[in-house]
Amino acid sequence: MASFSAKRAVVSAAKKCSLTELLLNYGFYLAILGIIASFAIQDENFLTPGNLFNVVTQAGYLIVVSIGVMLTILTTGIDLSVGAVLAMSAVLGASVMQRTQSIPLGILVMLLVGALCGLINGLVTVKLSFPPFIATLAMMNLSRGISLALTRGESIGGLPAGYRTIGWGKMAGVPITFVISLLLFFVGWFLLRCTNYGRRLYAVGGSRSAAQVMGISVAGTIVLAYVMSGLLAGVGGVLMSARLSAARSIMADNLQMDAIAAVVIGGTSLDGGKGSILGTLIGALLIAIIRNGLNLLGVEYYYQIVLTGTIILAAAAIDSVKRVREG
Amino acid sequence: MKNKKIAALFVSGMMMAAALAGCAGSSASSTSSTAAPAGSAPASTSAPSEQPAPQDKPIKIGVAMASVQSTAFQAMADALEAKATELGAEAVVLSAEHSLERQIDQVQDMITQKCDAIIINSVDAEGIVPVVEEANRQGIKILAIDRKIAGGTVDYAIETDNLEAGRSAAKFFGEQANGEQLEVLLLISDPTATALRERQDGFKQGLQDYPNLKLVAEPSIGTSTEKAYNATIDAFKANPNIKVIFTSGDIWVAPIQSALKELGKLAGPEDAAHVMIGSVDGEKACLDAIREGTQDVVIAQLFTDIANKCMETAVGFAKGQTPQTTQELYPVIVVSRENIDTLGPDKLWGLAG
Repeated sequence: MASFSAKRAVVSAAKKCSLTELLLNYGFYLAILGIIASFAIQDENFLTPGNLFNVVTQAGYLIVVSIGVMLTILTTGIDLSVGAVLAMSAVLGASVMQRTQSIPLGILVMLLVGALCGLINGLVTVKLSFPPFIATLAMMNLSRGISLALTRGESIGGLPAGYRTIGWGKMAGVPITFVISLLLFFVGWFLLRCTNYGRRLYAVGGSRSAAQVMGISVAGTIVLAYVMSGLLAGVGGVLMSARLSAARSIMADNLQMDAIAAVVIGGTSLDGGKGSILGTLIGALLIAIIRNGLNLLGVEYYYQIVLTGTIILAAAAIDSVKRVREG
Repeated sequence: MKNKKIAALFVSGMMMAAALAGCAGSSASSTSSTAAPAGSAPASTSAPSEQPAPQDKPIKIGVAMASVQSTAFQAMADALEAKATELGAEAVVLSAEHSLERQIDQVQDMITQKCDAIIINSVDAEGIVPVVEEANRQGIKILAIDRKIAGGTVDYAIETDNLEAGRSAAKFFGEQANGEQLEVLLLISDPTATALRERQDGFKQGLQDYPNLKLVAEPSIGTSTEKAYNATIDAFKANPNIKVIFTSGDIWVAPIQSALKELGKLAGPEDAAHVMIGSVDGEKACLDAIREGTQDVVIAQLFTDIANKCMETAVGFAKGQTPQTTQELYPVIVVSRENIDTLGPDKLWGLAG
């Protein structure tokens, strides 16, 4: 018995030191560091504090929305509607804000609309047993359609002058958008690591049947994840409309893809039950950094999509290989 | 064995990604006109017609396009880049593809790059204001091309004289009518696009000089080609003798022609039943239509000229010069069967590329 487990220990130790193992665990990050280093070398402005602050501001709404999408992916679901819900919440909230000239009221509307859409997504998934892909795809089309119909392609402006501060202002030199997204990151981190809900979320994602046996309310856990995803899309709507000083129905037209990319790059498994919110934050920052670096190098938007796509593929491949190895 | 294969696959994938980043970076430097900025000698790859001003770093002009997807935008972007190269400056051209948040990020990144001036083809006249103000604070000159910017300090703005474009169309039809009483159909498109609205307003103004031209219908078509078709059919039902149709954009000509065909009214220019069609822009399809006789007049925007003028002004700013005027309304060319063969791609962007 003892010699058998000793042998296994030696074998697994050897495994951990093998080149493949090292590459699997760290190769991806090394490659990313390599890309960032090449940006820094090719453009002297890249590593300046001004630029880095820009990057975290530009990443603001992506960070927030990625956290929401991560929660749904943890339950083995997905939320494809985040971009469209962000736009619709921004459009509805901005309309109210424009008419009442009340910033708090407008923000409240954006958050409520987001949460409501999330609730619908969750209920449809759980009560009607729709696959999350289909349910959120439907919500995506619905909300985008509603936004287009309401605005007819026009932009909703005329918002109170102070609203811009959320998108452009600084607190002690730090962009407010970044402060908000960092705050929400810590809230999310606390939720996932330190609360019962966090434990339930991972349990439901890990094994739904086991969770049920343990007495966890699977339905409630899942619905709440979608509500939070919708709510965070609403927050994204606030951040984006404050930055644009307007709401437009075509806002965030591809955001869900970037959010899913951030989650996958961050190491969250698409199978559910596994993932760290820190990884998601890093993933979102990475996407923003690559966008920014390529902009500084004058590389057109299309190549940026290709690069981001390649990185997603690589991250997903690593995840898949790791899962195979763990058997 | 299988694991090693997979490992090899994604390592090469990562190397490809890194290589792509590197390649894309260097191809960008070669499509812009000077060597990479950091740690290399100042501009030596361009062949300037005049020496760059005595400064250490080459002149860098940022160009933030709303889109490069249509031939018009493409022509504008190409002309801007070519002119920059000719003047010995580096142009950084990025396109936002109609996304305001992307354009804001792109302009912000151009500010980071310490561009001497930034030419903005705005996605949204008001939404771009905060980042314009940021550029103002950094002392970077801002130029607006083809579309307005509604705030901040815009050091130079150039666009087509859209009112004049509309008036010229009315004048053309008036002269063609030669005193004859003709009924006119005006298709009203997208009320929020100021350029289109100005062309329509200019057209109506121009009609006042020709009392024999009577505006009988002004249906709204939004931006829809389908609505253009339906509106034309409906207008003819109410006024079967319409002889002049004007629309503020080339893209609505094809549905008008389809509608006329459906109504059996697509007659050649020599035919008495011929219905005259006019539009604004200058894309190739319409220029061809002029030659074939299925369209009568195109009010061509001079995007290449506008781009050249804009880039010259931008480089001028970098050298400490100021333009004669800060708001420039650029004239148009009235293109018809009479002069189409005399006009080349240097004037008509629709013939270029």
